[in-house]
Amino acid sequence: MSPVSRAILLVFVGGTLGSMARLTVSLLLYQHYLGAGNHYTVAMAATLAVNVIGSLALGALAALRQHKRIPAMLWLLLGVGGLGAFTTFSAMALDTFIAIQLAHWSLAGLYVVATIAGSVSAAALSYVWTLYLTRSPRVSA
Amino acid sequence: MTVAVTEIHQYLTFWHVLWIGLGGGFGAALRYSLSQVVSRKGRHWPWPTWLVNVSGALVLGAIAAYFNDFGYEPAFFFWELGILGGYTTMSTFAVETVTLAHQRRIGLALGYALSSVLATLAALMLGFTLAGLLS
Repeated sequence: MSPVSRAILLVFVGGTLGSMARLTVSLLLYQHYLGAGNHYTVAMAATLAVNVIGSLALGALAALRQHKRIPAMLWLLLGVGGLGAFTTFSAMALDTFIAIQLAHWSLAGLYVVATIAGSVSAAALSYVWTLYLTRSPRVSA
Repeated sequence: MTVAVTEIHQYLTFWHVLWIGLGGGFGAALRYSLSQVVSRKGRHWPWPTWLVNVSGALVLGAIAAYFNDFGYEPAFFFWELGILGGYTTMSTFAVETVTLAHQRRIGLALGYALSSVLATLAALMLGFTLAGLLS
């Protein structure tokens, strides 16, 4: 198998698993919290949860990759495919649009800020921390 | 069969779950393939992810308009959670923003985050409106 098709296959398999994992999180939240009239806030919570958790995990993985602590194939499977598919930007936009249509302006604003600030700071935290933990030991003279 | 969007999850079978998963795999593979093709003009700006997220939101807007008009069914999850969930990505966006900030490109990081959010929302609304006009 050529390196290109192997890479695409790894991303495909990872993406399949990542999507199923996201569906599982959504279904669990729906089963426990879905009642009349609150559907889209539960959908928002599910999207927010996968985005923050996925960004936290990818931050660490990206730092490991940068220090060449993981094989390139694992990055394609878990990072590009798995966590790429586990998280979503389009559903965040749709959730926000629904809130805007319902004229729930402050909820829409809060949701966008929580998602972006939450995902970026989660990724920053795990990225910097993992870079620190995996830094090369100083060679003493 | 159409159901309320709040009830879709009650009608999911094993086969739906499998199709949603495969849809996500296809979306992710498409995102990766495009990222290998899109030229990295403007070396630091992460164009591939930016374009993937904006184009994915455009399509999701159109699909949401369709199901809004003709009724929801499990196929909505195939598109929303599967294909477009796999295609668009928040985690890669977050890591790219962090990487830019870590390289002390703070303005670029802020611009990337802000423009991703605004362009994605605008694209979703455009897709929703265009599909609404057609149907």
